[in-house]
Amino acid sequence: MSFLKRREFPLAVTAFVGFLMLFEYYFVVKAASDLAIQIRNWAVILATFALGVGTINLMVVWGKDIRGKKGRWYLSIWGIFMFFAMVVTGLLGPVIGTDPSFVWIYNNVNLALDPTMYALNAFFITSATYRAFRTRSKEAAVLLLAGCLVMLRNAPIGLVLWSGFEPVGSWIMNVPNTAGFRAIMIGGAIGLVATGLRTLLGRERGYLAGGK
Amino acid sequence: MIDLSEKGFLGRLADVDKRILYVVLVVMLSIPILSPLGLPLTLGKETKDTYDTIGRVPEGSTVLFLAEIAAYLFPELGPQVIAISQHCFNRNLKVVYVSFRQVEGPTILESLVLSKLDFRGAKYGEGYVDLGYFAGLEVSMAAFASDIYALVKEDYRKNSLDKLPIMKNLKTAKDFQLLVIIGVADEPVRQFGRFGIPTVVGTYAVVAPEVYPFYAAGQVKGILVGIRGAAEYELLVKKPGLAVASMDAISVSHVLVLVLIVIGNVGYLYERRRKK
Amino acid sequence: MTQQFIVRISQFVFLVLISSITLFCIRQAKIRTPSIRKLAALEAIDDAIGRAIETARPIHFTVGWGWGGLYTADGPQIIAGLSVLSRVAEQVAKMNGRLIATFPQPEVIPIAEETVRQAYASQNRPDLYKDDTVRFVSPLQYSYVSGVIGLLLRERPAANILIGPYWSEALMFAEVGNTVGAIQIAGTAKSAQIPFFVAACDYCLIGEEIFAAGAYVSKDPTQLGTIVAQDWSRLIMIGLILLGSVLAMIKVDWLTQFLKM
Repeated sequence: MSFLKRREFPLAVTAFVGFLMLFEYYFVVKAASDLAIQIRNWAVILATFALGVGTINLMVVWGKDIRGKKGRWYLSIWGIFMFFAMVVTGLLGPVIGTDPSFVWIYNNVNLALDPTMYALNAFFITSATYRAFRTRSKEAAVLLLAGCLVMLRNAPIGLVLWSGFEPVGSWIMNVPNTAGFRAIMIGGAIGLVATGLRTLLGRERGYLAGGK
Repeated sequence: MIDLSEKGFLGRLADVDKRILYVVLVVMLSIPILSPLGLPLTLGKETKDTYDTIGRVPEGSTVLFLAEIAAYLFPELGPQVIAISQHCFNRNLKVVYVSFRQVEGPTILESLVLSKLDFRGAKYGEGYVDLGYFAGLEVSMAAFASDIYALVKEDYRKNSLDKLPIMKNLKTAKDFQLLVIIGVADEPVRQFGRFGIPTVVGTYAVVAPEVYPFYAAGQVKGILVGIRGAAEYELLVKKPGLAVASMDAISVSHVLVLVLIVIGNVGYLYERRRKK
Repeated sequence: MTQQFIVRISQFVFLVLISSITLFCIRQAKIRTPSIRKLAALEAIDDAIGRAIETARPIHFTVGWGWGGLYTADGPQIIAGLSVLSRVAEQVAKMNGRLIATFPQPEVIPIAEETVRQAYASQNRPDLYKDDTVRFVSPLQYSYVSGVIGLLLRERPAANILIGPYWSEALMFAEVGNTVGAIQIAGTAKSAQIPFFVAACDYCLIGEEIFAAGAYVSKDPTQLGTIVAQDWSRLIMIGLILLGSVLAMIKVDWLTQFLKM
């Protein structure tokens, strides 16, 4: 039992699972495939159980706000109420999540609030663009010009003003933009491989709570 | 000219309060929504390539359609799903819908997309099917690609796969003749691209620059970029809808942002000169 | 030989190549510790925390939504963010500040709690850790966004540190952070969101610089060796691109076929 508590155990599990997944991807061996599929399913189940951990954390934070009557603590009471309302209504009915009251709450609260929050991006983009697109340097001026050309290519009104925005905007998207994104993607992928290798070899321990 | 402060009127243009910007945005966006301008829309190469790719798929082929729509993405991706789906049904293609990224994908598909389509006689289970959502993202994509029946036991409507004629000859991703990805393209291109299936992508405008490298390399044959791509496709399939109706607002918002950039830079350059 | 088989071979060759370079550089790093260039964003963390202490305002840290959590392709970015959190927590403890770390991934909560606790303990300040230092918000993207935005507007942190896998919440956090007057240090390897961080934040780590962050703050030879290996791998990619361009010009396509997916 003491071995399970030692740092070497999770490192060994990580290395075994990681190398198994790599092996299964490159070599067709039925036993490895079957085991890999099982482990993938377990990963999904574990992640779902982790929601319970998050729920406890949430209740602790809200409970603390309510006990100390900190800030808008009454909203924490509302948060707890809505949390249990969703859980209870979700569990009603023959199939989880199909009860009309749960569906009503989901359709009229979640489905309404989600796009609303996303729509806030329109305001934030406007203020960020206004604030950030300044000709502080030659490079900033080039960036500004490229951004304006692409915007005018994407908007129908741009093509009404001048048909040249389409080929110019397309060139910017297909050539410098693609080159830049390729470089970032290649760099990111190399970084991922390096981080993955460090994790498999036990050199990267950030996921081991404390990292030491 | 009266100086409103030490900065002057032109200098203050660089520091307009955000709240004023937000009010102006709301007012300007309301105008084309209440009174459409009817600006013309041209066809982009990426959209044309998407249309042509689907047009080249033989009739009767099966399409794997990753409909990754969430509630907040529906205004941008919903019209793409509807337009491309309609094109598939117009061409008598069979469509298998599935979602690996968005939990709400199947719900939104059933309630907001399928009701808007003309199936041209295709019946559920024979001409199209909704397999539902599978958690695990790339992990479940990999599982689906290598063995569909190992991952999927029944469809979203709780029918066993054995009872669905459309699934009869579909065992792996290789059995599909076209892949349509709506949403983020990285993971699906990685997992399904190696099977060599022609792939088209419809994505939201913010993520579109990430897809261009795949398009330039030929891994993706066509892209629908945001709501503009959806509007172009709606016109191609002769089914104008939400996307076409939104294009005027797009034009106004883009022009407003450009005007604000100019105003901000006028103020900035004036201030810089004044301080010198 | 099918295209699928060729793809697997080419991927395997690159995996072995990059792994070999990485292992070699790690071994070399133990003999002679390499140095890496300054990353302005990471250097600015100490100043940002100092400013927060002076103004008696908290420091906020979050890793971004990351679409699903640790077991997805965004997992390494979350780990990179946690390595920066460790450094931030150490500095906060040293300077007697107040840290609020928010997360949308429930499985990261125990890791983050232990990371912060250990960082505080290393500075002999375990008393600084409170129940609400590390907070779970929601695994749903826009619930997470509204939770964090609300927290930024209520707590008005002086420093807003955003390092990890960000999706469309990037701009929202950066703009609201700007509204409350926070110094903003951000970094993500999600290429679509990098422009928003560059435009809206004071300091930005671009792409794989966030993977270098752990090495940078810890100065661990093994991790620094990996950064050197990444640079060598990048040079090899540049060589391949140049070779591929020349071959494409003379219409020789074996390299394209080998690397095609």
